[in-house]
Amino acid sequence: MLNGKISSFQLAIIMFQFVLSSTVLLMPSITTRLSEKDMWLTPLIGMAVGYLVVWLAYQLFKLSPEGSVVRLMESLFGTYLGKAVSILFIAFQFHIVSISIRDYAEFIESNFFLKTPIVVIIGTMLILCGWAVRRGFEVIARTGQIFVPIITLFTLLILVLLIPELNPHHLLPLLERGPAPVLQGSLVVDGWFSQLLLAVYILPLVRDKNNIKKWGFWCVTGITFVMVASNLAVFMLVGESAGYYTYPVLMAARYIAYAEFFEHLEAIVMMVWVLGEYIKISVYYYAITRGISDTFRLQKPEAIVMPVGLLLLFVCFWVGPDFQTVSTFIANIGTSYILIGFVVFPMLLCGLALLRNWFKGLGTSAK
Amino acid sequence: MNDHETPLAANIEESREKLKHFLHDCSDASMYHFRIGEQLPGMFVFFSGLTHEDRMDELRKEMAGWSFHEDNGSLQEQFQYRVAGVCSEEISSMEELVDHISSGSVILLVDGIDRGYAFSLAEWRKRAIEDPAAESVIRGPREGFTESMVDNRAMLRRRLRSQKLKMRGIEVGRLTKSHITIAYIEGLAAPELVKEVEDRIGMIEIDGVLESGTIEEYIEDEPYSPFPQMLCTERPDAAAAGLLEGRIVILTDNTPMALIAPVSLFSLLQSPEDYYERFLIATAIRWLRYSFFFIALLVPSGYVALLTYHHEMVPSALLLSIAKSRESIPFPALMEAFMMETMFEALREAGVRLPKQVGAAVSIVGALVIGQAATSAGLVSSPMVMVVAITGIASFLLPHYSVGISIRLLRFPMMLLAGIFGLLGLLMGIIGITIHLCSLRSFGLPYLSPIAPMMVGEWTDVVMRPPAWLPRKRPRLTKSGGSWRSKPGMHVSKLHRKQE
Repeated sequence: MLNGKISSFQLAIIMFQFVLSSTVLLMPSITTRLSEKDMWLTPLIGMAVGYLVVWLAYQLFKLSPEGSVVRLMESLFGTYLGKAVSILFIAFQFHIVSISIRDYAEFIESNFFLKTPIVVIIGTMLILCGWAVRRGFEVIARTGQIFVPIITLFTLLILVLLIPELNPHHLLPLLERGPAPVLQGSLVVDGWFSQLLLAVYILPLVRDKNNIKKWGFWCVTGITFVMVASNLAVFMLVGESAGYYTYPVLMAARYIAYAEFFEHLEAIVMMVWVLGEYIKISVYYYAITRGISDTFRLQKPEAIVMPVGLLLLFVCFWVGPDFQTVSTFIANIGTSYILIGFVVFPMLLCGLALLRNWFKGLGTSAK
Repeated sequence: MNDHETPLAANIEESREKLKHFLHDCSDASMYHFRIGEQLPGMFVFFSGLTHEDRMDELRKEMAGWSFHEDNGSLQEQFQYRVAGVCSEEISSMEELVDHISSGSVILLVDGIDRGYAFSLAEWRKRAIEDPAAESVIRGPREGFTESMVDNRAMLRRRLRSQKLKMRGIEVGRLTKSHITIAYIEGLAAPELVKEVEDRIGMIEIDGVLESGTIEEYIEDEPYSPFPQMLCTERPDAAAAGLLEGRIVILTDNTPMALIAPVSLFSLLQSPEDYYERFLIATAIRWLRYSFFFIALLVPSGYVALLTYHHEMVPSALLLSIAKSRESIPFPALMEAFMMETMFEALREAGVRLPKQVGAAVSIVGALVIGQAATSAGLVSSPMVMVVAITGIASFLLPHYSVGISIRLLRFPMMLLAGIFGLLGLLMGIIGITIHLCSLRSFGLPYLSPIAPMMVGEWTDVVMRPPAWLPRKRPRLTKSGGSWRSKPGMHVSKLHRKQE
């Protein structure tokens, strides 16, 4: 499971979809609530954090002994404290991914399968992801190469088909309330970009290490492009009421009607969402499995795939008694929570490692 | 000669008794007594039906005419001197004798010599080279492999007249001792691949190999997959094309089916005729095949999902007409689909197994039952009949039977998923199949290459059938991957332009 090698291009494709999977559906509404007319600018500002996180992940990978960030924690904090920190970080990922899964399941349930028990929707997805994880990241990367073009194509197709309905006047005037709301909205976008840090668990598998930075930056650029496109399309379609819908893109897809035959494209939205979430959950699932097996130096990481999956299933229900609680959490402290976990904490790690190396350098030069 | 082997006797009467004991109950074993040069008693041993008996008779006549002079040494010595120029091999044990006669040789035993002389006069009744029955083409060579290994090898050699075409022989099967030939082109096929194939075949321990399917099952990478991981063909031109791409061809004795490995899913969706047809047309046909690959897999399950859970996604006019025809149907869509698809599979199987005369009757009755009677009796709706017919045709469109049948098999779990979870179930099924296909390998070659992992340079042969004059690089799986297969810029129109 740990040995399958991938190329940095494959990693970029996976991380591209990893960030985009839930954004296209959820982001337009959240950013509209915060930044109103200028919501389409938020990804452009947020992308700075995307570049930062990619750089951070690459630095961490380079600083880590044998490329394993768990080893870096152990060498910084001592073996036992390091393991504890690593477990804490993994628990944090557990939390984030279970919110994601819950999000996915709520979307499917509230829009398509009103009577299906949510545990079935989550369970089937986790079984598939667990299967992919057992087969190794190589397989996840390959499925990504098949699904991502399809997802991106259909997302863009929906946006293109919306063009006749769009009204650019919704966007004016620009920066009506000054830059503050845009910055506020971009923080939410940063919450999505920051998850790119998860690549640190996958970087050891990359074959062509020289291209990591190049493809990483292209990945962030691509994500920003799709985010801006979907934000623009949604806002030009419905204006500020985009903030009232939970899934504006799904609503947008209902607008499309060509020749009285080509209509009701919700199925496409669902396909995009399910395939995207499959990739997102698989990456998280893999990172968690790898993190645990690195922490405890497991010989056979395959053995913990099923238990981790079962745990994920439970955590999905532990994150909140109902989806309202989860939404309130995301809306209020979710952004700062995820930014602390995926930006501040890694920056600290990176800074500590650099400092230690600097001191070591001092020590050797003093001798 | 090993210790546990039975030595031959010097005395001819003794040999006779020994042979009778050794070959007891082998009623097809024949012994033929005669005298060499009218003095030396000799005996031919062979299995009747495996040897060219006329030529054996000529040999006997010639030997009978040999004359021996007493001053030139003993009869045996003189005989040994003369026979050395005629026989193909000398043997010394009973086991060797049986080996030789079961592959068609004739063994000559002579009084006073404890050795046997083998003459390869193998000749048996075999089928002539015919049109390949399962893979017919409109344009292209009309000959197919036969059951004879010698003929099959010759057909390959005739297409690739180069010493670089290598054919390694292996014997598999404790009792059948079937000959397996591993053919490859030196310098094109990766040596590790050849060794891997040879090792895997060498590890087979089995009593008998009657068809290449046994070999395939033993050496494939993932035994539990519904998808074929080797291409099975009875067309020598397809085998030669595989060799030219750096693949390996495995010929098995007594079957016209050759195996080509490694393959990807896309090569299983290609037909050799693609390369003989004009490239634009062949490209269009390839796309037709790709789309029908998905139709065969997804149409029945999609229909079930839409009718069971997602009425709103069907355009209203279409929904109304479907609803009208389903008005009196007593079954839910899933059950209807299951019944009809199972019925279709049963008809297909019956049509394949039955003799040709009865087969026609089955298809007529089947068409009536499925098409006409069931709809007018109000048991099955007519859109369902169409769905079944379309998927049936779609699965027959795939050029290799083995892929078609795996798709047909996967259709059933897909229908079940669609019946339980609707479109979500369908998506789950698609994700599951994709995960499986992505983790599948055929002798190290990822099954979905060059799409995943992506090798853009090799896409030309997937998204289109590239024109022959288009400069193309060799596939990366080969030893000389990346070198040019055809010289760049060599189309006639360009050459003319240069001359002007």
